[in-house]
Amino acid sequence: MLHEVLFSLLGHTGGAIKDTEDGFKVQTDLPFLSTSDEEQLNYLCRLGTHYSYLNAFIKKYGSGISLPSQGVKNSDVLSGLYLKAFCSGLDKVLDGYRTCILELESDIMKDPKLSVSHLVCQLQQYQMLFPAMVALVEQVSSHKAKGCYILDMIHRHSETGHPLVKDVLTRVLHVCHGVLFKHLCSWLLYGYVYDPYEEFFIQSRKAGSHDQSHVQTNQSVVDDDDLGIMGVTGRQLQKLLKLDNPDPVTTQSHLFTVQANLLPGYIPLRVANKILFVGESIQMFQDKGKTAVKHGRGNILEGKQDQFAKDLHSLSQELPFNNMKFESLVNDIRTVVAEVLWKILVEDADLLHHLRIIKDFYLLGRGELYLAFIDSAQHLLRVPATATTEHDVNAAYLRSARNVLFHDETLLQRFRLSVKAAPKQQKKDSSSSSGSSQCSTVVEPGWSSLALNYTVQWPLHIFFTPNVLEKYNRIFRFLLVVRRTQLDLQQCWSIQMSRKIQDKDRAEILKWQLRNHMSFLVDNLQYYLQVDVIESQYGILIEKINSTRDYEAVKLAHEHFLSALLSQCFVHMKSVAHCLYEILDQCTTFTSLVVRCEYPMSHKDVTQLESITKNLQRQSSLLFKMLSSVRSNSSSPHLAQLLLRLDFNKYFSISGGQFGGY
Amino acid sequence: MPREIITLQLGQCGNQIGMEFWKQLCAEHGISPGGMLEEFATEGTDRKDVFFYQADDEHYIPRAVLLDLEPRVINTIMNSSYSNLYNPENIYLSKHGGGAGNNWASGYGQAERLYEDVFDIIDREADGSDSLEGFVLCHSIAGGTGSGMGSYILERLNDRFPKKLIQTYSVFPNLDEMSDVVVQPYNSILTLKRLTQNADCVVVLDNTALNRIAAERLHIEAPSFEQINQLVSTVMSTSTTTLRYPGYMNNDLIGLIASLIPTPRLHFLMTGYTPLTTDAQVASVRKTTVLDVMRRLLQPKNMMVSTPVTRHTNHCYISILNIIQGEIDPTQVHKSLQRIRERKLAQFIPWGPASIQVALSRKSPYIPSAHRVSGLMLANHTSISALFSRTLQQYDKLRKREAFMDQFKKESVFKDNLDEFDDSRESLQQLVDEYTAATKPDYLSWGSKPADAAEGL
Repeated sequence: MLHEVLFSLLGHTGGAIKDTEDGFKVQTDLPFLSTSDEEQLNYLCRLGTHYSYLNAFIKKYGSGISLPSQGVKNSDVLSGLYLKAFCSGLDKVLDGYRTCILELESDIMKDPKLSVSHLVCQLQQYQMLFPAMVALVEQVSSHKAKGCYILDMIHRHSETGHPLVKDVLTRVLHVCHGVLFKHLCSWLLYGYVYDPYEEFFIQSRKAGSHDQSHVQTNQSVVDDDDLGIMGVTGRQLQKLLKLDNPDPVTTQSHLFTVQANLLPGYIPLRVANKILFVGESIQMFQDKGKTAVKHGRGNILEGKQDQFAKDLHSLSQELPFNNMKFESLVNDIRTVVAEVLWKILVEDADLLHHLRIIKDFYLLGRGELYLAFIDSAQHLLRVPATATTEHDVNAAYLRSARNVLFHDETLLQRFRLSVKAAPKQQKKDSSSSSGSSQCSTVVEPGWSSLALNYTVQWPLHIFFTPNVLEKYNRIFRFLLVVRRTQLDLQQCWSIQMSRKIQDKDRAEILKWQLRNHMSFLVDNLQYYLQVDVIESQYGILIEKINSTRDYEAVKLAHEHFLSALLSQCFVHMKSVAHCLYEILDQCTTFTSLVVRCEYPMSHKDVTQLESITKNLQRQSSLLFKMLSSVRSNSSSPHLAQLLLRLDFNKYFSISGGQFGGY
Repeated sequence: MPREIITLQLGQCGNQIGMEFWKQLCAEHGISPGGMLEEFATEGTDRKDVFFYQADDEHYIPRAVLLDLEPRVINTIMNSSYSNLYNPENIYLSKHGGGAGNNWASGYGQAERLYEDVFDIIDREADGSDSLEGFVLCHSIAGGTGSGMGSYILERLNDRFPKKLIQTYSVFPNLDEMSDVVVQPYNSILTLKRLTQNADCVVVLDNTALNRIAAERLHIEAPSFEQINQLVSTVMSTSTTTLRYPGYMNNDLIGLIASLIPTPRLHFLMTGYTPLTTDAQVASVRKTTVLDVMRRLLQPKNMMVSTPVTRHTNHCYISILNIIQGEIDPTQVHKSLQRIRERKLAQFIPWGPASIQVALSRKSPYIPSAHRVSGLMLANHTSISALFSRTLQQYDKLRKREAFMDQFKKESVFKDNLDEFDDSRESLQQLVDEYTAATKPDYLSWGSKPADAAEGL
């Protein structure tokens, strides 16, 4: 009888113990068993039930190599390396139980008088353990958990007060971590993911066809939904990627992402992001094998790989999983990578020099170049762009550059201006064909769609992404408008200066007063933009770059720089930007009036002048209100800076926040 | 387009300060006295082409025209190490070499006769530039050649190049000491009329103030011409620095001066520079931050124009442009502006918007400086009228006695009558009145018809 019990404990039923719906049960009508015996046996049998359940699970998923085949898209079927590891972990843990049974058998053989109670007593510990394990297994199969999610479950179940359960599950987790560390190792040290089941918490984004095939096996529709969990649907993402320049070099930087649903809860997101950064960086420099060789680097971790591999290995041996050590190791690796990247960018690629170039060209640092350019391109861009505008504008750009004795031809070749032939909307749309320009009803001058393109050199592409350059372009366009208006008004000034004999005419006085106010506004806006915003922020950026040796800090500083520029140039502040554009618009109208009108002004011209004056007064008073309303607000001190310049002698506030009045 | 600027140096004083100016520019751009680019300067990103052009043999030639009626100063230049710098064709010495005898009318008359020769040179020089922006005239208003010939050339430049800017660096005589030129006030008043009507921007270099600065600030007992001219050349080179070292703003002359001059006649600018040191003085380096520099620039003692403390009028700034060079923390600029406004360190006009514009500029890498930050102020201030009032007073004194009038009556301008004197006096008086009016809130209606004025208010 006891043998049968032992059998049943290993999951095999027999004559006396049957597999019923409630699990293993002793036959109820056995005459030689009292109710208490029966109770006891049934109690014991519960272990058998659980064991056989676990065993079945292990058998089902733990054996055989089942690479996902193209045909199988059924997500009901659980598969994966982590699952397999989970099974082998369970199996390992069950070994203890099996040994125990074996011992019991020999006990029974030695002493036939041993009672059932002895078994109960010996196996008591499993009464607590098995239900916990079964619960875990059930959860895994019911959630169809895969990959690192399993780790999360195991971990959550191991957080219990019961020391045995905790111990056992930690051991299971440890086995599963074997896979995780393999993944980490290849990712952290080589930037390489071998992950046929898509289980690792770092996943490649579903990108275009130019993606590497080994990580892109069979992405199913389900995966699109996975992306949805991060707040971006697959379709949106695809759109985003399509918007991006289809140049593989530039898109590579964002091919990977941390999958939140696969990330085990005990690895904080910040660590995961660091892991992501390390692998991505390594991969970025590995993919460009040719160039890397030229730069003398196979892998940016050169020389440190062995040490980190050793560290990772010893960490993977440690039981239980040491989160602190793990994080500090990741930090170590990240620091090394970030420093290497910093070295590549700042020292080898001379990032500071390139930032200077960006400032000179995008932020009009080379004032004399744009002075010449505006001069020679004015007639081309004042009118709506045609198919040939872009070519002419580029020719004008090069001509201007040569005229101001800009000799660095290779640098110049990397810049190219683009003008949209059909200006329909502000969004970049590369597919706009020149043919559609005729049907466009919106008469927008070429200036408004002018964009400066910069061919970024390896490895700076990770820094100046198309997205970043587009932001620079928005500032560029705004600065150019201000600059152009300023030049226009200066033209008016020379007309005014040619009349040194005193004017008695009221309209004339009004006209020149208006010019004076407009110039003042635009000049000071320009000073504000260039000194208070660009120079100041640039200084801060350079200081930050020089004070760190960490790539990510540099990148962050640059992001801050850019967003500060965008907000302080009011590109992101619709109301102020609109107001400024209106004012600049009035200035342009005014200029054309002044250049055109005769002396003395005709009645019609005077009327137009008065309407310009009114518009300017309205817009400037609006501007004044906006600037002074937020003056106390410490969140946007830059508005107060602009106001200080405009209202330096308090004329602006005394005149009720209006320019153009007299 | 380089926006070239042609420099005209007239008379003794004009050529002297001109020479110092070119010396300074050569040093800043790393050009040897012979016009060759120095080894260390070949990589520069400065713009030499605004003030220089390159000859066939690569050497740099200043866009300068040197004119004088007497040979002394020009001979000094031709005997110096810089003799090969200038284009010899651009040096014009009157044949008889007798000078203008410190007589405006003589200088004016001789210039009239030499018109063809002089404008041949200027025309050729203008044709040689791609997009000429304007002329810079260096002269003194008190002598004969600089004032008389200068006046004539100003008038003609206006006719011939109506679209070009004319800026002058005009040296005003030292009123503290007795001058050997007794007819100074006559010369000055006649020249000032042309400066008002024919120039777009006049940078006033007041010898009185320059001497005072040399004595008080630099502790030189009896300042020599060289030392004074060094101050002048510092001002001149710094005021053109944004043209020569490309930056984000003020890349052309018009951009530089347009914001300073809101109305056509109020175009007389004062300058201030800090910190001032001379070669001899081993620099006692003071603290130089942006605020320090900007604050010191607003102090009258650093101004290169001497104006008495005024009694009746509240003189004020019409506009200010500070050109700051050196190692600057740009965030300091805003803080300095704020501080200056809080402390009310500068009084501005009540009739229009005005502010301190601050241009940050690079400086020559070839000239070591003991100071971290240095600054030049170009300011349009109504108190400059005091200078004109003083000239008017002295003129009236002389005129009452009809003193020294004979030598003027000999010249063709005054052959028939002395109307030109009265004309000039009236023109200058008007300028003084306008500057005074500019201190008041109703300046804009000043001088317009009474009815209109009422309407305007």
